[in-house]
Amino acid sequence: MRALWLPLALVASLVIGTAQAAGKPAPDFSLRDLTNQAQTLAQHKGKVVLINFWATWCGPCQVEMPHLQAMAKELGPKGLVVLGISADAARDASKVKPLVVSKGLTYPILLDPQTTVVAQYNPTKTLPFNVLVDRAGNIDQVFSGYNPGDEVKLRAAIEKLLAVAAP
Amino acid sequence: MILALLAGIARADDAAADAPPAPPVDTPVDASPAGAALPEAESSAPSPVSSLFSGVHGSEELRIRYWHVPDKLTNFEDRNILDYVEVVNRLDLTGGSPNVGVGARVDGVGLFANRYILDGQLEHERELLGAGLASPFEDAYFGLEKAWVEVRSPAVTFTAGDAYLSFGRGIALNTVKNTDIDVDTSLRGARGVGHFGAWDVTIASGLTNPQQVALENPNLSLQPDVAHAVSGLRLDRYGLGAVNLGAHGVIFQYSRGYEEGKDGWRAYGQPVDAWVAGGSVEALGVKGLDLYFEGDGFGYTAEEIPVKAGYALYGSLAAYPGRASILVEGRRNKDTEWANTFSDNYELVSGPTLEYERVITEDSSAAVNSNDITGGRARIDLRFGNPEKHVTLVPYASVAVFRDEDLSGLHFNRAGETILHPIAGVQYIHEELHVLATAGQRVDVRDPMDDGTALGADRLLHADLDISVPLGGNLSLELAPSLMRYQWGVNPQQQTDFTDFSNTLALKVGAPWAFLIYTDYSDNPLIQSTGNLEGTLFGDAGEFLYGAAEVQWMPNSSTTLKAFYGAYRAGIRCAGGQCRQLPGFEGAKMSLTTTF
Repeated sequence: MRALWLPLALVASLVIGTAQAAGKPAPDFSLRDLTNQAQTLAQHKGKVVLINFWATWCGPCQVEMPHLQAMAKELGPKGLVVLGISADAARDASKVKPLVVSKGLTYPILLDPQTTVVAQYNPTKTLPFNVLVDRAGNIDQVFSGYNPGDEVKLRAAIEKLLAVAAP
Repeated sequence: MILALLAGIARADDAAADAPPAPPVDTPVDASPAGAALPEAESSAPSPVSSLFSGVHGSEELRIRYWHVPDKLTNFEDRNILDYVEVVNRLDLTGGSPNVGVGARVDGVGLFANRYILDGQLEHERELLGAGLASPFEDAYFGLEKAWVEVRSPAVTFTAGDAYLSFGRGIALNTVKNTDIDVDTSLRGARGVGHFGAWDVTIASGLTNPQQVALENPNLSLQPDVAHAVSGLRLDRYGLGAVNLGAHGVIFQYSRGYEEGKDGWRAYGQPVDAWVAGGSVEALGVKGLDLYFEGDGFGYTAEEIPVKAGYALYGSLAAYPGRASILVEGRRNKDTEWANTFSDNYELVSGPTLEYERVITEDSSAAVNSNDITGGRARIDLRFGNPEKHVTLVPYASVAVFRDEDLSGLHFNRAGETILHPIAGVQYIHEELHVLATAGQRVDVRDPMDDGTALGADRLLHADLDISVPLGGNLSLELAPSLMRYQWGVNPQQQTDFTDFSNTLALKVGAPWAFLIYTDYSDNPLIQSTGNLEGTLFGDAGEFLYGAAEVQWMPNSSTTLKAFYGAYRAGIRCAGGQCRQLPGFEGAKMSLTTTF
């Protein structure tokens, strides 16, 4: 049995690894932002949405966030919405806004204390984790982790979606 | 099983491809004032069953580890018969329609070469399964680790199965996933979250469900879960001007193990062992200040817990004058950790520790879990540069002060102690160049014993750096050294000062390839793992050197394949208010992580 299981797991992993997220509807959600105002994914339909999962304790996330701020500012008028979702546990909630302010971030930051959205989109809780949603509300790509230079690929993917008119 | 799941995914893909794109909805961003009712996620007519799984996605994680064990078995000194291979597979699937969500995690683990049989006689074996855990396979285990169904209506979101739950600042309840230390404890039962005007209601009841299979740590002698019954209610009231109010209550019914007949669902039939009740007040943007205060009372009736009551207080104040972000936090905990008495390797309650957990020592881990501690932390960040011009510069400083009077449990200290921990750091990000640097010193000053014996002070000096430099073309170099120097006072368990040093050097070639070299050094005489380099390259007796190399391949944005060979050291690691002693490693590893 074990001898069978190992290759099965390998094959399954590789097959799944080639699967693409493109075209699957992005599940909607409702979360409160740092002023307790509400944000849903559905209210941004018709725009390209980048959902960025991050946490105050995640170093690569904090390196990536200024790049996202630049994209939000430059590409916002063309139809990009960046939504940051903090994957911090409730115990760290007081740290979130001071960090966001210190980074000069102006795009919406949402809190998910019960990890309902994190569990749905990013069950392994890999951080940072970006989900790119097209104008029709479908997931175009996911980006797991961050290495310097990844923002170039991310930006290219966003601009490609922005070039497509809303359906 | 995996093939069946794959077939399900294939069907889901087909369904998604057939689904027409949703029409555009030109809905403005909600501009309701703070405290307005939370609008529901977009709702639609109930979806037919055939489209229930139209949005299936998830992740697959595969780990293959070859464990080299340097020890030799007597009479077999010429062979590595203690070496073995471990394979771990984790598949997460989620899916659903606008009204219904489903999710599942299937874990599997198998051991290979875990027995050595010579001339028909078993010389050595490693058992995957401990007493009480059933599996049809002797050296393999599969389990439906997590499963949930979520139904969403305009007012209520109801989850049946596994869910995470956190009340207030986690002081009253905090069952969460903590990937840093390979802990994932959910509550298996039912959870309802309702939005009724300016009121939010969260109610839940279930059994604790810690993960059976560890993804990153060795799986040996797996035990059945000891599931504790937890029930709680949280009310939030928004819209009182800038003020939000919250109140919560939680009861715990602990399982003592299977032999007591109180395990699993039967835990509900026994008296309440502990309870927590508390409330919170939050005021946002009052004269530029954000304030939060929470108070919780704890009660214990379990005979194994030596106290009857405890309490916790936590408060935070944030201000943003000019370029500065200032956060001041304070806490007082008295006999609150007893609520975690029966949970193993995870914590049911875990509020803010105010510690810099990355450098927590054995002793300060006890301060994290102290039953009698008062303290606070202030941090100031200064903002320079402009992220929109791709330049960010944030220097920061913080200082934490604690008074720890707990002398029981894991504490080294035999008298009360005062802890002082100043830290300074900087973050600089310019295009693809980044520098993250932090340094500080923690000093634990011990009171003298009642007989006048001086205990001195423990000191920890720490510094860490993460610098990434573009080298032109598609090359970049990342260097991440970390240094910790321990100097001990009068401590019967650890008298020798020592140094821990580690470094990661990474060369990244475009997006798909990265080559990493890891080095570890320690002269801690109590370290629980030996290095793989001492006596070969350099190093004296009592010094432990570890080296490893790794290749990473990322063929697309959602898939990472890693191959690792070498060793790293054991040590305590703390994250999310919890600490675990993690084992060292020597051998080879392959990991595949993909999202889809």
